[in-house]
Amino acid sequence: MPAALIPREERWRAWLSKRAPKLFLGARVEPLPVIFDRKRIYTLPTRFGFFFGAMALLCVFGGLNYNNNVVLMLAFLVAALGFVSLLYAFLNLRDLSVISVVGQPAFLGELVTFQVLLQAPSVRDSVVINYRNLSQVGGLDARTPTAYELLVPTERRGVLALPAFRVWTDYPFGLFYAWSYVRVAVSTLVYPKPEADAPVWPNANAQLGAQASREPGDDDLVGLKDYVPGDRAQRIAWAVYARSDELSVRDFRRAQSKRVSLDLADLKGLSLEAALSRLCAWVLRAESLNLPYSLKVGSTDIPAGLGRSHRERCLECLALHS
Amino acid sequence: MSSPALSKLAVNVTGLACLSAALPTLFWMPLWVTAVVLLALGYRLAQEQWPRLPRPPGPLRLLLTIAVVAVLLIEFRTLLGRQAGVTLLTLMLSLKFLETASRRDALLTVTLCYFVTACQGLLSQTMAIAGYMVFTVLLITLCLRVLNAPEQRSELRLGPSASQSFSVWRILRALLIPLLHALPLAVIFFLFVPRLGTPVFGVPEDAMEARTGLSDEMAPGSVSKLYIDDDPVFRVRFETAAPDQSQMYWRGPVLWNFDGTKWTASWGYSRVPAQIAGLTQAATTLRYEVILEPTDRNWLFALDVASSAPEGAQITRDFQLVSRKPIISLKRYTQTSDSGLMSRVRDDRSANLALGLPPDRNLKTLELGAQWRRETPDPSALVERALRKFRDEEYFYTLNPQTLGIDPVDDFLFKTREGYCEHFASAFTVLMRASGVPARVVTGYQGGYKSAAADYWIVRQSDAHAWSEVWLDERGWVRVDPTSAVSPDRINRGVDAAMRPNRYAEQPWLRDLRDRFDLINDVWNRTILTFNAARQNALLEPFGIPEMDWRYSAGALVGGLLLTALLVMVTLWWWQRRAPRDPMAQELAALRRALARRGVEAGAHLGPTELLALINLRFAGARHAADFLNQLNLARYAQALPSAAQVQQIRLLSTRAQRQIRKLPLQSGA
Repeated sequence: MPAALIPREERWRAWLSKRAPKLFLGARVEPLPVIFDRKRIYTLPTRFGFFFGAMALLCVFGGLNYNNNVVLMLAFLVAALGFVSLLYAFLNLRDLSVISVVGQPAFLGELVTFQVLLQAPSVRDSVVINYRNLSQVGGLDARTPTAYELLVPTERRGVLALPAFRVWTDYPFGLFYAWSYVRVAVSTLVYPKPEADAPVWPNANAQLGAQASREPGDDDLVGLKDYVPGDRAQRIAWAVYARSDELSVRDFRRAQSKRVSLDLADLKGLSLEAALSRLCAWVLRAESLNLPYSLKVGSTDIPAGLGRSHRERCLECLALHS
Repeated sequence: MSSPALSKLAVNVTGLACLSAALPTLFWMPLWVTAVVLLALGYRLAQEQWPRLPRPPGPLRLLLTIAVVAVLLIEFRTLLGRQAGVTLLTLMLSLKFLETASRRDALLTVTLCYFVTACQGLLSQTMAIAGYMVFTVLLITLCLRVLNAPEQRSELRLGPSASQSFSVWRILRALLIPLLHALPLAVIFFLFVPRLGTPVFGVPEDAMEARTGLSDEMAPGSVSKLYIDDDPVFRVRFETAAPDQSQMYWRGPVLWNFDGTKWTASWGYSRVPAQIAGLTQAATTLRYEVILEPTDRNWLFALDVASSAPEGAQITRDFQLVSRKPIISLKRYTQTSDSGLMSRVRDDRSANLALGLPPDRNLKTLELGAQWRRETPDPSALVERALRKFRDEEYFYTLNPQTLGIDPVDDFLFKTREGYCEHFASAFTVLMRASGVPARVVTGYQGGYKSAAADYWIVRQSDAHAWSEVWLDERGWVRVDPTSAVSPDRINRGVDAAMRPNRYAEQPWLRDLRDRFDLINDVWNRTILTFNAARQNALLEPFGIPEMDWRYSAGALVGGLLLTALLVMVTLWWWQRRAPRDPMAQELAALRRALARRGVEAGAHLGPTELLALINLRFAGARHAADFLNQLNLARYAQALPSAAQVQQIRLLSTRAQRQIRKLPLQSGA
């Protein structure tokens, strides 16, 4: 059963790819789309396949020994079924293509989701993609791009390049297992892990944060926030839309000093990671409280703002700081 | 390693596969085995229905297994025999299913199902069983497919569009198509995988109790119980001219010893091979081929008397044809018989063995014999006198005689005066011995049925017969059939004609049907079941290759594998070509066709938007077309892929749009 095999498989792969790196196409980064031709699909019996084969072999030997043709008929039918299922497993992957891979950023400790679009010229059943023991099984319709979610655990903050992942199948009977590794140049960001129960920010201005007015006014532009149906069309920030595809509205509030300035330099007592983790928690909190916030990390200075793109800009800055 | 739980569907299908695999073996098994198997399967299936039923705890299951093995050992005294082995396997299968909780267990159970099914071939190889086995394999393979369907694999996260893949048709397709692809390869395997001329391991030689047939003893009733059994024992094709039906005595066990009630074989004598070298004569020799159904006993049947022995068999001094191993599977042999052979063998010593009688039983018969001996010293005349007694006095041939007492021969000769072949043969032989003429009882089959469907004879259990042989100094052993004195019809036309003239088999259309059915069985026997190393060697003879060696085998097998690969690839390629294109593109094409039928040429270069403009130009109020094309545009250029429901919706809109286009009046183009 491949799911159980994975850790061993992984060890074996690591051992083998060290010695014979060319055996695994997954060791080389390929441009998209990746099309599975016959040269890159490997097929081996599963553990159940070996067991099944031993049973069939026993039947064949028994039938031959006793020259019992009914036993032999059955044994040969089962053996032939095994061979056919090898072909099926192989052909179930052949001409499959990975047409796109897109990653969603995630916080450290969470799983990163890569959306993998697979497409095949004919109907495919039981196609599984996995990275380590995180697998997803599904089926494909003919000539229809189908989205799989590939989950990858996060180990470090920063850029996460999608590691080689595996597309495999043991269709139709679980006797043979065909697989191919895919490594594409796709990466996403791993934000610092937001500190749990982070203390209130030290900035005096922000002490008022809890009572900050959340009522939108007309006085002062404080930043952008995500478009919510009902917002006035005149306030849509078209320039931002043209740049980033996101509908944002300009956020006007009554003049207020209630804004948070977050600065890495203020967190001297903490290690870098802990400090970033705390800043991350603050960014999220300010965002949820609708408090405009500015972020200063090293030489990067992000002016105060609100909204998804602002948040992402800040988190990206935290993720990439070194 | 703990494996995730099974779905109800998976358990039910696995249970069905187990039941199907176990069912035929239950016929050969003691009743308690059937009970245990059905209870175990039933309990596990009931657990799915009522989840509150407890799972039998591990120690209990272990205890159950040990108990079952122990009882089996007591019952069969071995676990290695055919019947014991298959029984054990079936029990283990049901107990394994009882504890099946995970997918891993279920896969093990399924593999065991295949094995149990295959082992049934050891018990019976009839076409009916083989057909049933194929059905079972289908079911087990279906089970394997269900266990491997994405929905059943809870260790894998279920992903896209897999839900729609779970349909009966898709499962069946995933089952039947691979089986069809495997079939030619299985045939090539069957024909070309080298067969063994002699077994490597010993054949399991245990005979099974359940089979009826002739044995090495004869008590009143042991032959007549076969009369109701219409199963074929063997089929014969004559190469030389077939003898007259009344001369077809198929010789089986020869019985020497009489204890007053029962005749038994004299194994000491019957094991010595006959000295017949150079005694056969071509003029009286018959040649024919016999296909003997498994009897679980050692006798091969031949016309009186065999002049050659097939490999692995010998002709004994009393002319039984005995195989060294019991006949546990279909046996095909070419046989010669020489009707005059027995008289040419001077075996004077054997005559002395054929005079013994218990002195204290059947006293009246002994007395009569002694009287005859005084009155008629010539043995031939004594034989005649005995036959005359049966013919002229009031003796009746019947299948339902009165029961006989402690001196059955006395009772038969002087009181009941009715019986069938074994009564007559037994009484005649005792009478001969009592009058000092060496005599013995021979059992076997008499006559046969000539199939109307093809040129062969069928000998059934109901043709079982018993007759006598007497030793005459000048002629040696001579066959005497006292039954023919009483009921010539039995010998000339068979038991049905003599006793049961109105049986169903005599209905012409039924007999015709039966003949045809038997012919199918015969073809099955000759083509499939008796295929062996020798026939495999001659397989390529029609192609000018007299002897097939391993190179041809290897070539054929590799060819078979390549051919199968080609077959699979061509099928899938053909499917790929036929596979539906992008549903939206299809709908768009359908709309274009609908427009073309109205005479509006909408080339493929027109996208949805341009198409809509064109439609608005030519049709007034094509509302549905507008809906469809707008939705199509939205779905096409959305960020997310359209869901199944969305695609469905677009299809619906497309159908409406096409219908509207068909109906709307055409405007002249501006």
